[in-house]
Order: sequence, then C-alpha cells, then structure tokens
Amino acid sequence: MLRRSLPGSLRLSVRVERRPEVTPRSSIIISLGMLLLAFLASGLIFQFLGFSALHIYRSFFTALLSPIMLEEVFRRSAPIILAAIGLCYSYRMGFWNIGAEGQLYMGMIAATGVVVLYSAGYGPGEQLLLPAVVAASMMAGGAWGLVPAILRVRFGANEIITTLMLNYTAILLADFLVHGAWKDPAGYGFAQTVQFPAAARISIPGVPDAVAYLALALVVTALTFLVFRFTVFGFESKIVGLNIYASRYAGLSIRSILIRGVFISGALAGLAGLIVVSGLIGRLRPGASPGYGYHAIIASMLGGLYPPAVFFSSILFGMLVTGGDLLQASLQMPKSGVEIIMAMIFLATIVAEFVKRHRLTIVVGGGGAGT
Amino acid sequence: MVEDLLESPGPAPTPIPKVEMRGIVKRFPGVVANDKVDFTIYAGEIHALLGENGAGKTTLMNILYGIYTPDAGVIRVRGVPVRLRSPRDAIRLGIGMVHQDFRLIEAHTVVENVFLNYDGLGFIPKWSALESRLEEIASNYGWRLNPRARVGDLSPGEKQQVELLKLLVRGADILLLDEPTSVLTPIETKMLFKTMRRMAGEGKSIVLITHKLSEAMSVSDRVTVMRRGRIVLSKPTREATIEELSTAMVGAQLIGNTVLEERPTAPADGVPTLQVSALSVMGDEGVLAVRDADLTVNRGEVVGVAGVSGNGQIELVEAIAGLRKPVRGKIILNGVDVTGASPRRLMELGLTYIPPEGKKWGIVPELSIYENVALRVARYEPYSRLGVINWRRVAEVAERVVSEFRVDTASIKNRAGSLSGGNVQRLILGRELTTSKPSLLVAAYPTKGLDIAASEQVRRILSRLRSEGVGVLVLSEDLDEILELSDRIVVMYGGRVVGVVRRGDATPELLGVMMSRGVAVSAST
Repeated sequence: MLRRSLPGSLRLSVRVERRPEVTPRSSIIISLGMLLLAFLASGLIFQFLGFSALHIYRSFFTALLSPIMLEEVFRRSAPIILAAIGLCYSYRMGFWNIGAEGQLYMGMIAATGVVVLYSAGYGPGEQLLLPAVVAASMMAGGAWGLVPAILRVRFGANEIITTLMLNYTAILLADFLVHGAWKDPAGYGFAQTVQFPAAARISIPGVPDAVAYLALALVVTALTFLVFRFTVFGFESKIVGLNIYASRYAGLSIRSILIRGVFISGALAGLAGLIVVSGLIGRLRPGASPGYGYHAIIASMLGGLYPPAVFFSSILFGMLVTGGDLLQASLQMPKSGVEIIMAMIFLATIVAEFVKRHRLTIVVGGGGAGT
Repeated sequence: MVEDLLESPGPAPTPIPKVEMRGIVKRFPGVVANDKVDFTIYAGEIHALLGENGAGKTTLMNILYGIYTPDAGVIRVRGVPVRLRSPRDAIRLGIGMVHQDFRLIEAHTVVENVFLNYDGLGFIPKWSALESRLEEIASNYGWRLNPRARVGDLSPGEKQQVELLKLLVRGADILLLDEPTSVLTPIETKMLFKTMRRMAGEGKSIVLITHKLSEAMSVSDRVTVMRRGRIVLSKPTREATIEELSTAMVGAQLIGNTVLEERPTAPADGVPTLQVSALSVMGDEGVLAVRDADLTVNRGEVVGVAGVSGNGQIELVEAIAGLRKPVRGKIILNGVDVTGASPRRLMELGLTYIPPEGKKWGIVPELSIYENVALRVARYEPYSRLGVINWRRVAEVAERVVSEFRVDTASIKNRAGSLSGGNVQRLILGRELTTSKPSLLVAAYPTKGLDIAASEQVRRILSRLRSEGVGVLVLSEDLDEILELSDRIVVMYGGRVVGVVRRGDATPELLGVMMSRGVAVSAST
C-alpha cells in the first residue's frame, strides 16, 4: 500500500490495492480512456506552445481520413503492424525485445542485398526474385533476433540492452553499405542503392499497394491470433512469460520456446523491412525507417499483445507517422509534434497497465501516517 | 503518547520488560500467521525465537518492527503501550531489525550505507566525522571494517556488521536478527555470537530468529518455540533439552510414546521403483546440500523424509524430480538410469512430482483452471495433434479433475489464482493423477499451509496411491504426518541420510533425536 498525505490539517491519501481480476471489457475501457487522456494531454501541450489543439486535431483527422491520405496511412501502417505482431511473440514470453528496429533494418539490408546481386546479373531469376527477397528479409531479421535470444539463454545477458545495441549496429551497417559497396553507380552520387525492380515487390494485380500490404498484415495478424489461441507453442510461450517456475516444473523446454519465439519476432520485423524498402521507398537509403520498429513497441503494448487489437493500434501509429508530415506542411508545426502524442500514448499505456492491476481510492481524512 | 516516550529512551529498570507483546493476532488471507501470541523481551538477554519455516516467527518480528500492524493485541515498549505504524516508529523506540536478505546498496561505501536517511546529516554531511564514529563503534566490537570500503566488496559477515551498524548509530537497543547465520560461515557465525554476547552484556536485548536448534541452544538465554502461529514453549535455555525443543517445533505431541502398529504391506512389495545411490546435490549457496544420500522407494510403499528444514530434503527431491542436477551419484527410476534427466523425460517415465508452494511452482495463477490442466498435457496426444491443441479434450479432463478431486470452483474457466490453498493442491494432485499413471509420486510438503480437512484429503489420496501399488516419497515438516503415512522414514541431517526407521520402530522421540543430532540410534535399520 502506498500513502501520500498533504501537509496541513486536511489529510488526503490515495489507497492503492491490487485488483484481483480484470475483465476484458474493463481492460478495453481503461485502455481507450487512457488513449483519450493522452490526446488531451498532448493537446494541452500544443495549446501552451501557441497552437490551437482543436484545430490541429480536426485538420489532422479530417485530412488523414481523406481517400488519398488514407492510402498513405495504410501503406505506412503495414510495416508497423507486422513488426508489432512480431513483438507480441517476444513480449508474451517476457522477452523484452526492443530490437524490432534493428531486425527491420536487417530485413531491409538482406532484401537489398538480393536485389543488388540480381541487378549485377547474379542470383535468382525474375520469378524467384520475390520469394528470394521475402526469405532473405525474414531470415535476416530472425537471425538478428536470435543473437540476443541466445545471449540470454546461454549467458543471461539482459535482452533490453543487447537488442537496443543491435539496433544501432544494424542501422550503421545499412549506412555503411549504402555509402559504400552498394551505392547505386547511376545514382548521381546519392547515398542510395539501386531501385527495387517490380519483380521484387509485393503486389496483388489490380489492387492498390496499400491494400496488398494491409492484406498481408491482416493474414499475419490472423495467423498469429490462431497460433496464440490454438497451438501448443502459443500456449507454452504464454506460460514461459507468466511463471518461469511452473514452466520448469511442467517440463517445458524454455530455451527452445524462447529461441523460436524471438526468431519469429525478428522474422516479422524483417518482413516489415522488406515492405519499407521494396514498397514504401523502393530502395535502401540512410534513415529508411523513421522508427517503425519503435512505434511497433508502443503499438503492441497499447494493443495489450492481443493481435486484433494490435492491428488497430498499429494503424493509429500509421496515422501519427503520416500526420507528422501533414503538421509540418499545412500547420507550420514541427514534425516532432506527433512525437509528443506518441510519447503521451506510451506513458498512458504504462499507466493503463497499472490501473488495470490496481484499484485506486482517495481517502479524505483517513490514513494518518506518522506520529 | 509515543511522543513523550521518545524524549527519554534511557535504560529502563530491570523488572519492567523491554518489550511486551500480548495477544498478538495477525491474519493473512487463508492463514492465521500469529494466533494470540505473547512474547516478552528483557534487558540484556538473547532470546531465541525458534520454529519451522512458516511458523510465524518473522511475522511476529515484523509486527514489532512496524512493518505489519497486528489485527489484535497490545505492544508495550519499556512499559508504555505503543502503536507502531512503520519501521520509523520502531527505530525511534530503539527497535532495529536485520533482515535475512541484506538491504544494502552494494555500489556505496560502508559509511554511506550506514548513514543513508539518517536524521541530522545536514545538507553536506561531514563524512570524516561520521567515519571516525563508525570506526569507534566497530572497534568496540572487535570488527575490522573500513568505513570507506564498497559494500559490494565485503563478505557476507561484514555486510551483516554494516547492517548492525545501521541500527547501532540510530541508538537501537532492541535488535531483531532474522536468521542471521544463514549466509555466514561457521567462523563468521562464531564471531556474530561473540558480538551478540557483548551487546547483551551492555544491556541490549537481542532476538535471534532461527530454525536451527543448535544455535538456539548455544547462544541464547531464553528460548521460545512457535509452531503454526502459536507459542508452544517458552523457557530459560538452560532448562530446555534439544529433544523437547525439536518435538515442540515439529509438533509430535499428539502421538507421545505410542508405537504405530504394522500395516498390511503393499501389494507388490520389494520391487523398487526408485533407487538413489550416493547422491550429492549442490544447494543454492554453493555448498553441497545433499551428501552421499542413499534411498529406495518400493512399489506400494510410502517413504517419508523427516528432518529439520534446511537439512537437504528439498534439494534431494528436486534432484529426483529433475529440477536440480546432481553432482555425484545415481538415480534409477524403474530400472532406467535417470541421473540428470529433464523433468519432461522423468514425467514420461512415470514420475510425478508435487512441488512445494503450489501457487508458485505448480500452477500459473493468472490462467484459468482448464489452462492449468493443459500446462502438463498440452503437448501430448490426445490433447493436441500436430501442435494444435484440442481445447475440448482439455476441458473434458479438467471437468473430471475438478469433480473427482473436489476442487471447489464454480467453473473451470475461473482463474486458478482465485482458489484457496487446499483447492490448488487438489487441482495439482488431480491434474497429475488424472492425466498420467505414475509409478512414483514425489510430494514435497503437500499439506503445508492447508487446513486440517484439506490436509486429511491429501493424505487420503497418498494412501490410496500406495494401495494401488504406486511408490510414494513424501516430505513433511509435520512429524505426525510422517508417522501416520510412512512405511519407512528416512531421517536427514546436514545433507546426509542419518538413518532409516521402519514404521513399527518409529517414535517421535527417536526421530527427534536423529533429526536434531544427526545420530543413527540403535533401533534404525
């Protein structure tokens, strides 16, 4: 129990008690309420900075919901959804992987590598190019995830630190390649690679790219939902996250579950990287991801690691990323304005988790701590 | 008022006890940790508070230290009734506690740790003055402690001295030491006891919370034994015998001198299901917890493991259950060498293990009852096929577990964490016995924390298994229970099996002597 009293004769104290059970309904209500609070708090900050929060939000959402912008929102949501769904595999096992950004970069690098080889006349034929870039990006992302997973099970290395550091390694590796060996010879000296040929791009004939990407993300979300609900692996990975003692007692192979789960996490982040590099930008260049891997962390938390909810919370982040450019262009507000909103959502998510587990009551006059 | 008392904390005249606790009651959900406890501490005495784990010793001392507030009862310090709402209150009254796990900041120096949150430090502390003050106190007790040393570099014994210094500089003269020797080497223990004697000589009062009989006997002036939340014995140490204390601790007073009658032997006796030979197992502190233990469990036989807690019993069964890798020796299950095998392989070979602290090891409290049933079986057919779980099958077997083992719940969809201790234990037993057909059941403290009726049900289940030809190895802190259940009793002391007593030969006195002294007595076989 935690008590906080105000000085003076009036005693106000907040009693914090653990709540035994949370119904899914109250959980959703708390999350949505906290989301609303995040927007309100960000609005207050905008107001202090001399902008009209109401105006910002109104133009923000009306613009984003217009057909043209909506397509952009969906395009940008796709990598966030894939990475966030991937992170659910890690987080439900209690593996605090904040390395989706690095795994995403490794996916981009591997896919680009295949394309660089292809355009130099090596590697797979045209029909095999798409399967090759998909496999390469997923394997590379997964492998990048395996490093911290193995360090954790072999040496107990803290994955928060290792995954974070591997992000920078991957980002710098991408920089190194695009500035050097992989620089497009016909690119007028710009630090970028050759463009992805059409054969290396995910698309459904006759359908806008945005819809194709969203469809892919939807399939991955649905599969993950089924894996979590109906497979032995999905069930056992949850047990590993909830109670390591019971896992050992029940004879689960904790290491193998952990390694498999983190590999899937990384592979999905790698696939997200493929979408960025083949679809959104068309080539690898420095700063290719504006932080999709980090947005995915908040999106997966906000969605409570429940795949359908993560799908929608990721789209919210797709909106925020897209809206950032909008703020700058039409409202003369710095792009980082959306980062305030993202940060507030992140804080609100953390608070929401606390509120879900505890019951807060304010006691007037009671408590009486100290002598 | 407490306020008035704070002005004059000087030494009280001897006839008034330093601390008087009367009728202390403390309930936690499902248990009464302290049940009308009376406890008195006099000036200049070392008072040993003895009892098994979970007997309520630490709860009682936490109440005196202001960590818990009692549900009923009075506390008088130096004759004045007090209400202790936090450790701050206790410290102001001169009461200090050293917890079993040290509460020190390893990266800070000794002097920084000692004076952390010390009243009157000022904005810029005068460290050199504080250091010399520490040196003075330390040398008074013969400690060689550099105030500027980093706490992380100190030995456990020295860390304990830092903890004691924290109390001494705040003027504590009632010191509560919770299992202070558990992390110490024998030499450090001797040092500590010398310090304690010296402090007592200065008029300070010391409570030694321990479950080690020998410590209580060697250092204390008075000894009080707690069992299941109650005081069962309290007298000057020189009038107490080690046998009487051990019997009081484990509670065999019901059976007295009677020898249990022989029971009809098991259906297929003489066929061993478990053979353990020369087994040595490492404990958590890096010393051997089990040394060269030999043990056999036959089919249709209950073997009880008796011993004062901390003598290697839990490490022994954890090694058998595959949760701890043995250092040496052999474990044979139904003729197969399973030394170092994984829990999963052992389970598939017919071993079922009922862990201690069911809520921690046996179930996942956040999940539903049927998911907890799935915990052990999800990966096997018919509960899953090709990696896909058949939840209907799981639910069917969960319903059977709940009805056959009388798990009291409205629905198998309820959270397992909402069940009472007895229901959790029945759920675990039911799950294990419904979903597998064990040839050996190893149960670690299966009735610990359960009420009488629930314990009785668990014992009945164990006896039923015995009559079905299953070999049962059971650990218990309750000597009565061991005597009631077992065909043979293995006594452990200091990590060794010091004797095996057959049912007909076992008396509480005999076991008490073996448990407390580690000697095999003539009647053992």
